[in-house]
Amino acid sequence: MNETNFDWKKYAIAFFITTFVFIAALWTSNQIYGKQIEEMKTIINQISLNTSASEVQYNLLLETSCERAVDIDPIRDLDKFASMLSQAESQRGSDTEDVLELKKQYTLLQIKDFLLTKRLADRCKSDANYILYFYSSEKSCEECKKQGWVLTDLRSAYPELRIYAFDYDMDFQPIKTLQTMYKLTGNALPILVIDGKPVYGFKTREEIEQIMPLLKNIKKQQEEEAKKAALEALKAEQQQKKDGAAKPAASGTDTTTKTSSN
Amino acid sequence: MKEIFAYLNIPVYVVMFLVLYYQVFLLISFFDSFSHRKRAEETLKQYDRDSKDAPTVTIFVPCYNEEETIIPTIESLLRSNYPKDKLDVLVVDDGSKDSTYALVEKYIEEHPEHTNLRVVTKPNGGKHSALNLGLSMTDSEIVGCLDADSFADQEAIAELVKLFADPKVVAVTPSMKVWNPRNMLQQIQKVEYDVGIFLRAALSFINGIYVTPGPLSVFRKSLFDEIGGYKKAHNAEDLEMALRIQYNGKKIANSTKAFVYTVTPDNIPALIKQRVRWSQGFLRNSYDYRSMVFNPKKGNLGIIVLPMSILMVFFSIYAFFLMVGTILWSLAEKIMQVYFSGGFHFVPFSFSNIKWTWFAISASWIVFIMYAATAVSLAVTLLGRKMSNGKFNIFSKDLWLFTLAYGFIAPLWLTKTVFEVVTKKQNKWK
Repeated sequence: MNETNFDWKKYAIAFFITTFVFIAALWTSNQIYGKQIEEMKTIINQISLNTSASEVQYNLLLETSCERAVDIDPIRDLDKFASMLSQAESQRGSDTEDVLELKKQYTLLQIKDFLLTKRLADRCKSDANYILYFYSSEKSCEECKKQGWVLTDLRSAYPELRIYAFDYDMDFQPIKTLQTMYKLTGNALPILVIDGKPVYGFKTREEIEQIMPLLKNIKKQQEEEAKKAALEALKAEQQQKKDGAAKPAASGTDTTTKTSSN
Repeated sequence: MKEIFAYLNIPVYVVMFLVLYYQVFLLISFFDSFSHRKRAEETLKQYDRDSKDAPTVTIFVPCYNEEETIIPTIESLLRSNYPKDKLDVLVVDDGSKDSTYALVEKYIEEHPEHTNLRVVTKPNGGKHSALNLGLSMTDSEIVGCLDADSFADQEAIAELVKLFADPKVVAVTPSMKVWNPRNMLQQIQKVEYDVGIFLRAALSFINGIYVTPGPLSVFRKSLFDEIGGYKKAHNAEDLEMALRIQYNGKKIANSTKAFVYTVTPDNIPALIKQRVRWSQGFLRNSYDYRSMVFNPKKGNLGIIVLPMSILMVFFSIYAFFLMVGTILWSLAEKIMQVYFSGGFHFVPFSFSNIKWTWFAISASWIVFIMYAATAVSLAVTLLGRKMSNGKFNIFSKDLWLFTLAYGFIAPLWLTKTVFEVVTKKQNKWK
């Protein structure tokens, strides 16, 4: 062993081993990423099939009755898919081929679902129960993130509400068509399309509830129901008080009776 | 914000590669040395402790206010399995304000049988001055130093001295262990010291040792005539001495069989204080010997050991703050999310909800590189433990404590070190 001069062979072996370990780590992570993409592809195929089924179901039923058409199942698993898509995007960026393709398919399915929902609302003359939400994945958009959380909250509060999220900057013709349809300008993201009208910038839950006729009506209804319930509770309470006041009197009579009998 | 963190990850990839490379390099050096070591051990037999030509040894015990541990330290040396007539113990009191000196004097009086034990006192001047006084008071062939908070194993001196059979060796370092680890912090340090045993062994095979630790490093006395005595060296005289030896192209060996036990700090402030002194000593002395860094003439030490050791100081701080930043940022996001989505949405737990998905594992590159780096670090740690305790135990509590906590504690002193080095603040050795 030569102690003062370095042993180049050792340096080279260490380099090869390290490179191998590095490549093995990257390869394993890529394998897992591949599995994730495969999983997403299976899910998107299922969603696609569900969408076609809903479409057919809708076309058949709409001919006969509006009420029965309303009962058509919404497209399931879109949310689950969305969270997978965002994890995949955070791991490898949004511009990888696989992610981009899946995102396009997802966008198309959302638009299909949106068209069904819109047609149903128009045909049955009911309040629009959908919000189109445009966010940005290219520019840093903190407001978009907040808007996403507010919309998640809204959807859990109003199960009948449908929210469709679109990447404003995505180079995809159907998105461009939606932008032209609603005359959107991408200056102030996020953009919400509520009841066919664009609303620019971040909106709180309360603001959306005020703007959207469906939510406004539901809220009004809920408030009236709450008022009614409160009134009934008050009445019940008063009744209870009355009963409560009557009871001691009755027991008092009882005592007197007892006393007198004694 | 997320983009900023992603951007900040790029140097992490590069340095992770280098750190992994360095660990692999040390592992290769370690395994490569097996055959060399066997051959070397055969030639060492001539320096057996019973042999008449065993060299004379003087061990200095420099001390300043060490009344609690000084006697056990001296006794550990006196119990050494080394010819009594060849071993001297010289306690150098560096102007202690407590009863250290008196205690040693009394001990000598009460134990007249220990004729090889001496004590001197001098005005306080720092550890280097105590060692230099010791050097001037002996003509033994081998001299060494044992800090007054450390205890030598019975076989330690004999094992250390054996390695001087190689005429090129001018200094030998021991294998340090933690004395009686009582609390969690000391148990973490125990594992750290075990890793140190492996590192020092691996470094010695490539002649890359850059510190001759205070607890029982031994030297040829003639070395000091050649390269001079101890210097103050930013209160890290043991580090400076090793660098000076290396600078002069001499060889430092390491004994994996010479064990020495040292008392370690039992609380975080004391630990940080000690480590800041060590790390500052390392950075400042490395700066003083900067001509060695990336210098191919200085062999492995110049080309890989010193550059990597310096890089690790800065990288640990960088990685720590990046990690803390990422954790705080995701915590802030979670709080904002809870705020904007109207509170927690509790999902009731149910086994039927659990379904295998590949999304349960992160497919991020950096995560997998970290797994690889952790695996190599674990191998290094286990080797150290094997050398220290003679067994592999992947399930021991202190190993996991070390794995989980060390990464959070070490950056504290490293950050303080760099801050003080930059602001030119000096520290004391005691």
